[in-house]
Amino acid sequence: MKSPDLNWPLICGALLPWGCMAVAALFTPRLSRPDLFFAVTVNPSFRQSPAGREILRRYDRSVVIVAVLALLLVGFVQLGTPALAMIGLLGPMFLELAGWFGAFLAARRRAMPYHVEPTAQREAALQPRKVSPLGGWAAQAGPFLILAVAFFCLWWRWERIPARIPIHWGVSGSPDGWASKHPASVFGSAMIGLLTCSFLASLWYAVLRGVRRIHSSGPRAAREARFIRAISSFLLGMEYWLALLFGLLSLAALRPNPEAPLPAFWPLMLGQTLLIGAVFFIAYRAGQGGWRWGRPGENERLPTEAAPVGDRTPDECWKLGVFYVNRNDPALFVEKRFGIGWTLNLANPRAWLVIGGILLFISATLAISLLTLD
Amino acid sequence: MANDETTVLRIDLASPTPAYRQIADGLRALLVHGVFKPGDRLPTVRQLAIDLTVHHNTVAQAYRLLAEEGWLDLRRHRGATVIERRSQRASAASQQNFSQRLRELTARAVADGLDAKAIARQLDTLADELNK
Repeated sequence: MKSPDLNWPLICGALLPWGCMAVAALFTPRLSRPDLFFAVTVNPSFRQSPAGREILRRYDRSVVIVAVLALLLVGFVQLGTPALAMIGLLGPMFLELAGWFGAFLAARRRAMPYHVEPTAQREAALQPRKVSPLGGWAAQAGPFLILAVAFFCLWWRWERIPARIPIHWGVSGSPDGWASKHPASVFGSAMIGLLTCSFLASLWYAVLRGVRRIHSSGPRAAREARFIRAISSFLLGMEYWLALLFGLLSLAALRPNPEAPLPAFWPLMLGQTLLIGAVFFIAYRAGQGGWRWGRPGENERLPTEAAPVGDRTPDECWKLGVFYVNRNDPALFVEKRFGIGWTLNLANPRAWLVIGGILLFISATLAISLLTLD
Repeated sequence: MANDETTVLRIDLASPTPAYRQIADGLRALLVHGVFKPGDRLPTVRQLAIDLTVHHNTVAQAYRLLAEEGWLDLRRHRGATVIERRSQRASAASQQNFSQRLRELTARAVADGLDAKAIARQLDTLADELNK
């Protein structure tokens, strides 16, 4: 009996985000600061108490059930019609996201009765902050130079660009989207690279300069500084990666045989996988704000505070545990309570400028893609 | 400028003392003890407000108070710079106020159970630090 042909590109396209989200959902509660449990301030020992373990166990069970249900949806990609294939491709991701959030809200509700008042102590370092980004501040020029070279090559060799050029490639590396020769289609990829790198560069600067430090001295402050350096280095790595990716894709217009698969496709995919791996590795090793760094048992030996420090924000300002709205806090970026990194203070008017910028960036990217496609 | 633990400013938002007063008192203590020297820059109002999770105006008010006392030079977009402060001549009223507050403070400490000799030792140490 002949086995059915499997649509591997679509199956892989659905399984990759499914796997990433399932792993992220299981790990995220374990990465929060010890005195924050499902975005609720608790005593640091609560996590290990029977009640804490039970909440975590029920959360894990919900996440696994949702992941299995989402995996069943992947089978839709084999059902033939484009609409069902789309359900199989995107359905698992949306189902997991909704299930994850639901499991988080349920766990948060169970953790609420164990809430304790966080410390009212605040501290700030008065000496100038020593910020030493990987490669120095000049390292930021690299991605933009790469894209500038791509722009220059396309401009310089304009006459050699054929009338029809590839602008989209499938999972196998072969072109599957074409456009007529036009400045928007020729420079489109490099332009998307420029927009993405500019956005990441802004985030990189904000992380280095604008985020609040929870601790101002001692080993906890040193870990936070290391965490900020790790995240900023990752963002810089992303910029170089995307500049190379979009720079190379834009130069595909100059290839003598544009219909042939991209020669550097698999190295590009490998790089992408390595970047995803790096995200998980940094998150798992560091924990939020770098609190997991240090030798085994070192955390237990650090001096304890009279009340939980958490992230020095009031619990009542965290709407649904993930949206921070505090008019009395001048910070634009604050540490996430559930997850790694920072989120926006939605009560700060500048936060809406940032959100507007992100929406503009997404719209511009979509517009470039749609307007150039034949 | 000294480093690390000595240059950390701590305030308590649950304290009855207003936050701006706590910031000004904390900074003044560091200035009097010579932790900051003329020419040193303090963090910008924005940065300090973010780190302490207080409104910009709270930090700005504390800086203005210290500027009025002659400790800081405040210039737009340049932050707060520590300046050489002319030695002040204390009025009789402020001397009397200080004696009164010190007496109340030590009385409170004794009432809380602190040893009188230990208090005296701490005052001696403080006096030595001020004379350096």
